[in-house]
Amino acid sequence: MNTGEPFSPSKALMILPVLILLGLFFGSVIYLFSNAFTAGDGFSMKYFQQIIDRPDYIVVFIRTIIASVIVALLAVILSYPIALLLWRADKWRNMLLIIVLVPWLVSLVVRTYGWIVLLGTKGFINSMLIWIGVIEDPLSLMFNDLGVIIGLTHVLIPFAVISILSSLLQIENNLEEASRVLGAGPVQTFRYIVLPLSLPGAFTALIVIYLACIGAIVTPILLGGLSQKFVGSQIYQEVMYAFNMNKAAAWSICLLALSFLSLVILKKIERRVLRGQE
Amino acid sequence: MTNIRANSVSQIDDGTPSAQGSITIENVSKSYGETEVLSNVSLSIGSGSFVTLLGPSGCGKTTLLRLIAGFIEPSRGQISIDGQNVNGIPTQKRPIGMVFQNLALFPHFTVYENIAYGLKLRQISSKEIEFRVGQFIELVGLQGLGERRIAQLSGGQKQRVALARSLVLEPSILLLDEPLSALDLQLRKQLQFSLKDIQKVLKTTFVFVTHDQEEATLMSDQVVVMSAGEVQQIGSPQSIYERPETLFVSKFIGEVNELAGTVRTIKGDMLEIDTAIGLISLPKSTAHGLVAVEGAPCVVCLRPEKLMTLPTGSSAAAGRISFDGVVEDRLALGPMIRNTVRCKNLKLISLTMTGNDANSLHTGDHCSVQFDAENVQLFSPLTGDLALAFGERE
Amino acid sequence: MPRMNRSLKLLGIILLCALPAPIFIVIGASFNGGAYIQFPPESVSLRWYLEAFADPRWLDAFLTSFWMAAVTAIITTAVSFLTAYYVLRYAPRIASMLEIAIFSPLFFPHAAMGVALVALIAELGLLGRAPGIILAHLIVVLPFSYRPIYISLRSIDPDLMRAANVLGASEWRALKDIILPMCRSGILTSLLFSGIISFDEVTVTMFLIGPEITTLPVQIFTFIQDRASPVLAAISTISVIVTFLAVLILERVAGLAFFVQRDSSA
Repeated sequence: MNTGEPFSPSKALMILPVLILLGLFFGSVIYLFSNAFTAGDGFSMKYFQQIIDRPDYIVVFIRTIIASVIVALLAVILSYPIALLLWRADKWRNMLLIIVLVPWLVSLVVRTYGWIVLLGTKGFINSMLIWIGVIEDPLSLMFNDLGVIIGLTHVLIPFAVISILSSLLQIENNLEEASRVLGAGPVQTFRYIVLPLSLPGAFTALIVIYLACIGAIVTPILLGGLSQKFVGSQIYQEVMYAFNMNKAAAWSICLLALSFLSLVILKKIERRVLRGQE
Repeated sequence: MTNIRANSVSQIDDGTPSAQGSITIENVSKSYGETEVLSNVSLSIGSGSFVTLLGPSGCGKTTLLRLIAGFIEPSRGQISIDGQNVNGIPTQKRPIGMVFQNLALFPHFTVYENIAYGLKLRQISSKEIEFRVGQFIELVGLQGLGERRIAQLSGGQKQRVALARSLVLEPSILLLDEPLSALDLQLRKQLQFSLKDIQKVLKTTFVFVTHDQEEATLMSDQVVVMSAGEVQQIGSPQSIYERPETLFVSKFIGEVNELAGTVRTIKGDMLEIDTAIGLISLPKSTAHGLVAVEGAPCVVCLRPEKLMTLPTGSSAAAGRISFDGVVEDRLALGPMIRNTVRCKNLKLISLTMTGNDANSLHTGDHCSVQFDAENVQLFSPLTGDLALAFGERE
Repeated sequence: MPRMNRSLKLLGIILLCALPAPIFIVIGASFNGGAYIQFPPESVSLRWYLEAFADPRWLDAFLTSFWMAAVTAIITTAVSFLTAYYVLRYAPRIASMLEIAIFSPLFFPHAAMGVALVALIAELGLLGRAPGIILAHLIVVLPFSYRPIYISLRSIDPDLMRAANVLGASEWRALKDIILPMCRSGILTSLLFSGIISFDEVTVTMFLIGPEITTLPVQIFTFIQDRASPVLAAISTISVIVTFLAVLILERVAGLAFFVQRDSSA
């Protein structure tokens, strides 16, 4: 529907609600900046100084970035077989899609709680291994980076599946047949036709997942604990325990800058890889 | 693509005249569950010929093409290419090329990359690839467009890329699945001739699927008329038009006047048929697939151009059958005039050349309708295809 | 369609099954009779469900989440519909700009969004109060609600509206009789999708709760940090059931095609 009727001021009231919501959102961002750059009454870089001066904080950033890159790559790679399965499963696709969608939409805390039940010292995996007799003392699967990476990857795979699947579904019907007529076997057809054409979806997933990871709070806190801090858990601590809103704001600005920078770099890589497509 | 230079092609053909490319289909059937989409089809396609599979949607022509391509395997029967059974041989190992209805060009490749793809898979040196792709880009008239993206091409240009992409591999057989159906009429006409020209030069076997009888007639050496999963008739366009073997073929190829009738008497070699416009005497030789028994229902078919509309009183030549009628309508179609004539309660169509006798007739005039008995086709209504009763299912 | 390589298919099936596995573990754990989760389970019992129902805090949190999700879904769907309708009919030129603005929260790290919204909502005096949480949820779910509505509205032939006008329908009548019914699946998708997201939202919400009000996911989050009692498994199971039912309803009333539909402009 796109009738392009002439502008009418009274009808413009229809977008007032959305403008209010967006105004509040952008207003909150401005607030964030003013909180981060204000100490006492004037402009100050005090809070940023506090962050930069602490080497352990830099470690937090680096840990967050590395873990996020690993999670994003892992999630996309592990999603491919699932997305291909759903793509091929014509009749069953809807049912299988529910299996993907429900874990995606179930609350983050519940899914993370599932991993606590699985990975905890007295959790499912350890109890089972001890019961079978493989190990005597529980393995520490949680409260470390491994736990966070497992948790985040699992939490974000459904999104990657959906994103890759939507790209796959856009591939025109006969392209694979055409490739076969031209002499390509199944592997070559996947390599030259299916994979390149699904990359836009894979890249969307990679970017969104990476950004979700660096801004994640719940999973790092619950599976990483408060000793293995991520940027998200650091911010949470600043707000909930230290009640230092200004410093939390400064952390947030750093996080924003990091995501913006990452976005620019990822988009550049995306453009290079997808060069010429579309 | 319109001006193919024979010399550029002879270089390509260099040393390997494509004497291959024959297809034999023996008693092939294909069913999906309970539904049989092809039943017992036998067909032999000679090397270097242009064969059209013609029929309404759902007649099985595309299924047959996909069987030859190897996308699907026959439920029964055998398909051979160049005398070799290809049942179970995957598509990529068959000596075929294919142009798809939706063209199936790779959107992430350029024109050049699309055409080069098959050559790259065959691990041909990049120099050789460059040379051959260049030749075929020229052959189909896409000079200077090699670096374009598919999305930047017009419909006709895409068509040419699809053709070049298949032909560059020099397949002995090219399968074409209604490749022109998405184009507008003018472009379509132009490409029909180009395709025919290219086929003549390359001597590749073309198997062309269409539901458009005019396209089939125009392009092919041989037409295979199909209906409801069965082959109705195989023959040259002319023989199929002039000597249809079933009521279905007669109605599907070109326009036809149809008169329902009953065999009244059989006298030696002559049949007397009772029809709505009167009694018609026909030689037995006009009957196809009709068991001539007295009282048997039949259909009398007559092409409009074989039906003459003349002013009343015109004497009928010896052996000519003549009835009285009234001109109801006259339509000038350029070289032809299309007369609608009412005979008793039936409307008949007759086509006459502009400038002939009938020209003096006007709407409302009484006239004489005449035809030669030998131009009549007589069918049993039972051999007619039910599908046709509902019109062409597009 | 060509068949899939067998080992790749097997891998896909295994990975697919792994997706809901932790959820099944939670459901299984909720019926465990022991004081903590263990393998093999000690006994089967409903004691954790009884304990959860006995504690009014859980019922309160559940009801709060439920009604706030409903309110959020209705408001955001109405806002999205008005916006999409206006943009497509009267201001197609601002469509892409507005879309970027609406989708921008998606690219905003959640942690930073929480901090930003907590400051704003505190300033509005709504911290720890339902309107504050709903306001935050509206901002979070807006992109998820706008997209299905925009896509389904855009697919409606503009001539239909003109035809209705030519036949004498006022804009309001045409909207009610033609556009709304045709946009039905988009609206239902928006309602359920944004409702589910609001019901399950935790990252931003946990900054905004107060002593008087908390939502179910935030309550679960707080309890996990405190001590991982199996009562959480029972509560989580209930939350999973609500989400699952909502997805099933969505599949029934509007289909799931929307999720895998790629929109070139988004």
